[in-house]
Amino acid sequence: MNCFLRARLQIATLALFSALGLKSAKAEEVYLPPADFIAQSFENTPEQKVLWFTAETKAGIRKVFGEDYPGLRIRYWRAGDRTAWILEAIGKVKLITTGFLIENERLLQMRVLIYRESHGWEVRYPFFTNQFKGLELESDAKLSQNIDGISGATLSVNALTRLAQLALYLHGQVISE
Amino acid sequence: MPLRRKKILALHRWLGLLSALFLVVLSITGLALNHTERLGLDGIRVKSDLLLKCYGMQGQGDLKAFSIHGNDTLTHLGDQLYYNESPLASTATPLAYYSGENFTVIACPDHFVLLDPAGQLIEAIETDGLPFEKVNAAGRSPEGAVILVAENGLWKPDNEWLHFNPYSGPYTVKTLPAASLPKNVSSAILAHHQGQGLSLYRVLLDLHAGRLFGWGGRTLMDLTAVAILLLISSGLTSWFKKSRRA
Repeated sequence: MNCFLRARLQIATLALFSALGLKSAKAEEVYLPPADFIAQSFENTPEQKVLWFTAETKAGIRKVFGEDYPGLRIRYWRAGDRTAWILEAIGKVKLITTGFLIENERLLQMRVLIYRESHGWEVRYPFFTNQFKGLELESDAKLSQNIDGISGATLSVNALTRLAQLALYLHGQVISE
Repeated sequence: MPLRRKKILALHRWLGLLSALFLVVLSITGLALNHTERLGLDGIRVKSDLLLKCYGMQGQGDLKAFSIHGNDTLTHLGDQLYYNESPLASTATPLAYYSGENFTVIACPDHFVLLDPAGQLIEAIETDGLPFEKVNAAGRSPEGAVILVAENGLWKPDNEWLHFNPYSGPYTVKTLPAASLPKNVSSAILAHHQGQGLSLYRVLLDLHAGRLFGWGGRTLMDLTAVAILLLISSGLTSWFKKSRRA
């Protein structure tokens, strides 16, 4: 084998070995910082409040969310009958951070704010999130309309649907206080 | 020997040498995968920290444990914080803590974690959106109030931890003392972090396909497959030329 071919083979081999171990990793995607979501939700950003979870609230959360929500209290923003919530749930293995804006027991807006999973990010697009507009919480703890899923994003869709139910439930709790 | 045949033989030799190791890996892993059930590969769990890291999992060596509330422990693994063996919140490694009468606050660079005296999570507050972004420590004023030491100064939270006011005055910081974890606690944390763990079947399958080493490994296995085709064609060509001459 001539020197030229040998040198090229050696370079190619070195390049391949140096490429070993490199893994593509999708970092978290911040679509809208939570603080910006809150600022956009109100004319004048109201002060934060906290809702403490009583035993009754916890039982209600389990019913609408299917499991306990972490912690003993949660922050929210309220101006009149309008409330905003930043809620998180695991899609498949990572947390999805979402913003919910609710008025008069109806969802005005649902936004995916931070997405950390490697798949299923399509849930951020309006064709999906617009389905939540105007929905209410029914007496059976389900949303007033079915949410159409997205192929390959079933777990994220389920997580966001459960979070929407939770947001509506929590809104009901603070409005009735 | 004609020059062209010499070149083909040289190419055959170098291709064989370069791809030999990968062919051996392909053969052995292929044989093992073909007998997955008989060898019980699905039931064998891989414990190697190095391999677990390849899958984004962390192992025993990555546990960072601190002593809190006397005999309890605070452990950080991956991006998860644990109180004894119970998962608390997804945070960066904790820096310091302040223990009050009604609650304990753990300061992490990106979060405050509030616990009740029993170690139950009250709330994990992200520093994003607060008057400061990065917190370096949590301290105590001479009056006993919590003082947050952030990059942009000192802050004093109100009783509900909803508002933070600038603070200027003396304070002391209590750092987290390192602790050694009891075996049952570290096992429970690792089980939570790693889930069902990593099976030998998954490792062999990814080694076979080269996925274990990311796109570089996949490309290498692709090139090995191409090398096999070239070896076959260069071997046959050389053999035909030799037999024609004979």
